[in-house]
Amino acid sequence: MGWIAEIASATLTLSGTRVLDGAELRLAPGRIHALVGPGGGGKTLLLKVLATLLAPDAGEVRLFGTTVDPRDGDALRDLRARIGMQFQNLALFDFLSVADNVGFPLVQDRNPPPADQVAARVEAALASVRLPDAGSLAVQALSGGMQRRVAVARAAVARPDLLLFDDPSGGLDPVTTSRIFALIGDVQARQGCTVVVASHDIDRLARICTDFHVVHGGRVIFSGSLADGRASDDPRVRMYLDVRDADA
Amino acid sequence: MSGTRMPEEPVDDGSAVGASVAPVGRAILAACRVVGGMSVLQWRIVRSMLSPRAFDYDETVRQLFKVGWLSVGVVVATALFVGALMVISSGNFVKATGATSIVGWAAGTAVFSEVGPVLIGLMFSGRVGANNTAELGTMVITDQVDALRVLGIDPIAYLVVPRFLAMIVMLVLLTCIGDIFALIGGAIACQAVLGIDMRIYWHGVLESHLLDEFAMGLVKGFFFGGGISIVSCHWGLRVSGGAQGVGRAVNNSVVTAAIAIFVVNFFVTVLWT
Repeated sequence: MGWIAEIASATLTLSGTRVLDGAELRLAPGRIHALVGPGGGGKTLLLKVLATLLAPDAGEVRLFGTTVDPRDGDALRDLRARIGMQFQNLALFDFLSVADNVGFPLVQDRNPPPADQVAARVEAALASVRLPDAGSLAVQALSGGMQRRVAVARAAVARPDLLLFDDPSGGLDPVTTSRIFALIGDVQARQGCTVVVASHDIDRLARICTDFHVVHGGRVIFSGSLADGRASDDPRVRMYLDVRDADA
Repeated sequence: MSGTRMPEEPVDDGSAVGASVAPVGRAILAACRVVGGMSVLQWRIVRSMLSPRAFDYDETVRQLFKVGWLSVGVVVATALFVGALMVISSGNFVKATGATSIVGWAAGTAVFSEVGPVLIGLMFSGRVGANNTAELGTMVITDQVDALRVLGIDPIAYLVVPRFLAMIVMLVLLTCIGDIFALIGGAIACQAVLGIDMRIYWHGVLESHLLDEFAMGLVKGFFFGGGISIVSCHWGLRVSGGAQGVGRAVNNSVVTAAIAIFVVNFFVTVLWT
């Protein structure tokens, strides 16, 4: 099977602590993958490795069939042009308006589209996250849920092949959380990209994800379907995947 | 007899000396790391400026406005009082000797070559450098710098180069403005406090041919601007540990920039004269 992204035997030590310990992760293209597990287990680190923001001390990372070489700046830029990421902290630029934030990946592209096309795509992206009139507002003027929707729009606006979401519903109320997950599902359905969502919210993940990866202690201890995970012999896997109302 | 020492026997293994020397060694290593980090940053700035898409125009304009225009008020206020103080400090000597004609020369020389650039540099460091460190540090801890990187944007080219250029250009201009207002402050003090006709003061300033001192002050402004930008960006981009980390970085930035200003001031003065 052709994987869109592969992490093989990745180890990483930060500040003297082994944070990735032989992690293995393979992502099938065109699907929505869930990364679940305890806080501090390595979900965010795996996303950052996939985004080429962190390079493992040992092991191999392959993206789109290419082995990632952290010393090759040009190759990294080419790979990153195919990746979109929504960060746990959202990482919206507070010195830019909402529209400028969403259009930022387009404007900063090495071959940026004409200004009218940028404006049209920004408008479409904001409409897709149900914020059609928010373009001229400052980021700080938005609520937490609206900021997360802007972050989703910015991550997806350049139509990346690999879209990464780190805790997209953190701190949100249940209604807004459901909307955010529905948006992620919509984006994937529209663009056909590969999506990875790191979250604790197994209930909502179960509604949109096809593949589940349980991350524990810097390792991926399970990869497969939700049903297989729930039938796993490993109690840790069952603990993170078995939520009573997951199928509700 | 075995060569093993008895446990209770006092052992002089040099640990006492080591304990007292170790902090010195650590401090030297830390200083080397800071200087090395700033040297690498300087190299990356130069490399970015030489690349085809050197820097972001909009961000550079934004920085020029932010670090320059918004600093004019504080620089003018500082310069007015510094110029006045320069004249008042020399007041007793001038009055005692009756050498009123040298008051303009004394104030002009001091303001142009030393006091003006150094004090304006320190004000600039406190206002702009500290703000810059806090802004970059906050961007680091809120993942905004990583967001730039994942978009394929070099944070050095996008964030640091515009700040570097803006701080150099604006500190040179602010030094000019500061010099002018320091002289105006001196003239007002001359008339109002010392009771010396300010025409004598202005005559002394203009007749002293202080172009050399003025140029030296601008050169200092150039190097101070570059130094403050590198120091503040270095500490800002190295932030870790949340709000406390930002606070520590701002503190380190202000202290390091002040030291850098005095060191650069010394070397420029020595090399110029």
